[in-house]
Amino acid sequence: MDLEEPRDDLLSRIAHDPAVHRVLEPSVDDRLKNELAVSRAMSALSGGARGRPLRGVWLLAAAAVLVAGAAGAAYWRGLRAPPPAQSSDTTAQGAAIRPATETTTARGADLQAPAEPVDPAPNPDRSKARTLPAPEGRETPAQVFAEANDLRRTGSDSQAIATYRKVERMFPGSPEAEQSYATLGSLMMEHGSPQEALGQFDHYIGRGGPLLVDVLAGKASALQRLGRTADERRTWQTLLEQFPKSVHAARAKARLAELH
Amino acid sequence: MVAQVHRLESGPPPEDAGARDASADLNTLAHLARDGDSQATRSLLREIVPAVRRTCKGILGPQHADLEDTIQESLVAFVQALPSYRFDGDITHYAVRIAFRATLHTKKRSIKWRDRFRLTGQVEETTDSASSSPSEEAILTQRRKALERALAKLPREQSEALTLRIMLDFSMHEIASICDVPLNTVKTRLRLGKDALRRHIERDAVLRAAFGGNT
Repeated sequence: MDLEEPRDDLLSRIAHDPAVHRVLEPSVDDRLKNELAVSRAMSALSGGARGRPLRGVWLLAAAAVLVAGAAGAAYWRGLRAPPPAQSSDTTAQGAAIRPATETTTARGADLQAPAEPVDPAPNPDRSKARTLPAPEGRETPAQVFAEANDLRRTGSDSQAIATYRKVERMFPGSPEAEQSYATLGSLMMEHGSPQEALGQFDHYIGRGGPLLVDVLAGKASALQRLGRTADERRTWQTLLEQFPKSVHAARAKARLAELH
Repeated sequence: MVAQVHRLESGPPPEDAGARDASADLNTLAHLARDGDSQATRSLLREIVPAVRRTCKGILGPQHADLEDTIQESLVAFVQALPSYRFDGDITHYAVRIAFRATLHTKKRSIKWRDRFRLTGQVEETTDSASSSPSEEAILTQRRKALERALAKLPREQSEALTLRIMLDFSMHEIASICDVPLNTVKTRLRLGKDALRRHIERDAVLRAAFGGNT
C-alpha cells in the first residue's frame, strides 16, 4: 500500500489475517446506516429533540443511569434477598448512586484527555446503561429498527414486519420510522400485499428521503399488481422525471412502452 | 426478497458522484458547513461518513452495541470541531482523527460498563461473514481480542499508529495526516511499536500460534 516503505512481514500478516481484515468488509446495510447516522447527527446539531447537548438532557440521562444502576444492582444481588422494604430501597439506591457518580467522573476525565478538539457530543438517545436490558417503554428507535433489520436478515419476516410497524407506531417522525416505510413496503410486496405496500410507499414518498427512487419503483410495481394502470404510468413518469439516470430508468421506460 | 430490500436500503447513487474534484468540493463544503450552512453540512457528512464508519467499525467491531452511536457522535464532534480545522490537509483524515479518538473513548467506556455489570455478552463482537462456521468465528474473535489486548499494552502513540496501520489499513502518509505528525515520526512509532508487539506476540499463545515465528 505504501510506496515509501513496504509493510513488513509481521504487520502485513496481521493486517491480512481474517480476524482483522474481515471486520473492515463493508456490510450491505452500511449505506442505509450511513444515511441514518447523518440524519441523526444533523438532528443533534440543529438542537432537535434527539441529541441536543443541553444540561437538562444530561440531568435526565444521569437520572436514567441512576434508575438503571438501581435496577442492575438489585438484579445482580440475586433473588435470594427478601422483598425490599421501604428502608432497603433507599440502600439499593444509595448503592446505585455510587457507580453512576464514578462513571460521570470518569467520563469527564476521559473527555479532557485527548489533545485534539474532540468532544463527542452528548446524545440523549444514547443510554449510558446500554448494556442493561431496557424496558419496552425506554427503547430507542435505533434499537427497535436494528432489531427489525436483524429479524429480516435472519428470515423471520413476520416478526420483522411486526417490529417495523412498532418503529412506525412508537417513533413516528424519526429517521428510523421513515426508513421503515420503505423497507416494510418492500417486505409487504414480497409477501403478496401490494395494497399495504402501497400505503407504506406513499408514506415514504410523502416525506421524501434517500431511498425515494427505489420507493417510487416499488410503488409502480405495487400499482401494477393492483391493476391500476393509469396510476402506475404516472409513477413511472415521475420516477423518470426526477431520476432520469437511476438504475430503475430502463425498467421505467420499458414498462411505459408496454403501457402505451 | 433480500436482494430487493438490500437494494432499497442501499439507496440511489449520489446524483453528482464522480463529476467533480472531490478534495476541492469537500473543502468548499467544509467552509460552508463551518459557517452554518446546513445543506452543506449534510453533504459533507455524507462524504465523510464512510471513512468514519470504517474507523469506528475497525476498532469496535461490526456488532458492537455502541457502533452506530459512536459514528453519530463522531459526526457531531467533527462538525463542532470544524472551526478548529486549518484547511491544510485532507479533511477526511481530520474526520478520521476525531472518529478515532471518539471510538477509543467508547471502547474504554464499554469495558468499564462491562466490567461493572459483568454483561460481557452485550458487547462481544462477531464478524459479518456468513461463510464461516461458528467455531471459526470464535477463533477469529479470540485472535482479534488477543491482538487488541496486545496493542492496548503499548505506549499510546505506538498503539495508535499500529492500530491505524494494521487494523484500519491506512498508509503511513495517511497516518501522518491523521495524527498530524511528520512521516518520520510515524515510521519511528511503527518501528518501536512493532518491536514491542513482537514481544507480546511471543508471550501470548493465541497470537504466537497465528503470527509467531519469523517475525
